[in-house]
Amino acid sequence: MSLRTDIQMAFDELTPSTHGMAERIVGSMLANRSRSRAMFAWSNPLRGATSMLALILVLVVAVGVLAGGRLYRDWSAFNNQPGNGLAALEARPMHLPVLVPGQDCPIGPKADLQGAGNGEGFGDGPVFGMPIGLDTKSTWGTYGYQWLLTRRDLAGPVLVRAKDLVTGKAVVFVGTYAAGPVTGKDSDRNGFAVKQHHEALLDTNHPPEDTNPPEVYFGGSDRLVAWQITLGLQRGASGCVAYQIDGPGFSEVFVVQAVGTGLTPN
Amino acid sequence: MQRVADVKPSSASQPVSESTFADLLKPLIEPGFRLALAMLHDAQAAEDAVQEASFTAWRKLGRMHDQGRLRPWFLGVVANKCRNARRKKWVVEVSVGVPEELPAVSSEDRTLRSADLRRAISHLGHDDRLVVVLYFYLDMPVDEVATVAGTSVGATRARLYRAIKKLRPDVAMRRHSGEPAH
Repeated sequence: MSLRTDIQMAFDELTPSTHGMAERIVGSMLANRSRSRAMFAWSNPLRGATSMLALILVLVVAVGVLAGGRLYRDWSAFNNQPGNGLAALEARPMHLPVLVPGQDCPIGPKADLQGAGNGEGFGDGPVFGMPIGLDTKSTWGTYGYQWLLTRRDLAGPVLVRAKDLVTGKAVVFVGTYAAGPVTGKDSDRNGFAVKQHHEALLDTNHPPEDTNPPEVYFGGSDRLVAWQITLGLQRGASGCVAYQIDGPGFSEVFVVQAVGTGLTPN
Repeated sequence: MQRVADVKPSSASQPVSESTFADLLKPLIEPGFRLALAMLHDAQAAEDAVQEASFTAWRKLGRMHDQGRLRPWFLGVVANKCRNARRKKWVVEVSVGVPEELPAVSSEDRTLRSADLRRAISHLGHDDRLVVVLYFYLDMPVDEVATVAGTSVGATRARLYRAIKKLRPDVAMRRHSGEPAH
């Protein structure tokens, strides 16, 4: 028996009769909607007072933001002191290769990951990249995923920054590992907002459980920790992406060429 | 029982009006409930989740631009409600529909396997559990599973592989064929 059949039987055993449920839920929703409208009609006379209260709240929030801004500046000043982890990594200058017009994408250095995926990887370590897979387009550009593998003995924060070498535009990161200030916004395929960042951050002291142990996906390696980050390339990008990975005691650069459903032209 | 893959969304890509939304929603209640039940393992909590999802879907109707996307969109809302419900202590307390020990009346092997499987699925993380339920239980194609889960198709496939491996270490994974084991 297939896993699909097993799962369907397992849950069908639990499922009670759903007869009438759709009508009950939709009916309840419509009734609630009517009550909401009635309540708003009743509350019309209170709208003036409510507006005044809202205005006062806005003023209170504004004062709070101003006061909080000072605290934030103090905190940022502390965090930007040399040696304070992420801030120190962010302060490191970018040293990515520069392409001359017509030059091919300088993919590499290549790494032999010995059993991880199909073995194709990039970087000298302690962080390695797999080929980028692009598969989702938006009006802004194209999104995809990038597997990064870190040596299991690596400790501390690892900062990931990347740039399209042809267009010179920064690659954006979204989702779980995106970090740093929000640099832009886009909508996903469901119309919900997505926040873009120019940095991704890997906390190697806390490897992700859902992509590990890497032998589940990367064919038996117990030396590496796998991270799946989601990235975006703006419309017109070439897909020739240079990564700069900074961590405690190392700074690493490698170049990969994005593959997949193609890039969004200008 | 009707699988979610059998429910055909309207092909028209027009804004959904409130007057038709209820009619569009009705066929999605059952798949929504089955998704919630498989996620929460508690019938009452599942119905509550679908009810809340219906309200939310109603309020956010204006964001729904593509009628053909209603099904994955609504199931995505249900999935979020399930995630929130699992965070509530009371749901954790009542979601012991997956017994740690089988009752004495469950003597058949199949019942044992089913209970083991439900228990194994309940131990998966929310995101892993979601893709397994959508793909295997609701028979949804991978691209729609990805839409509901809010991830890319590639990431969804990867998550399915990992989840399958956790569920059935002995399941042969056709990693290079593009589809997980069935």
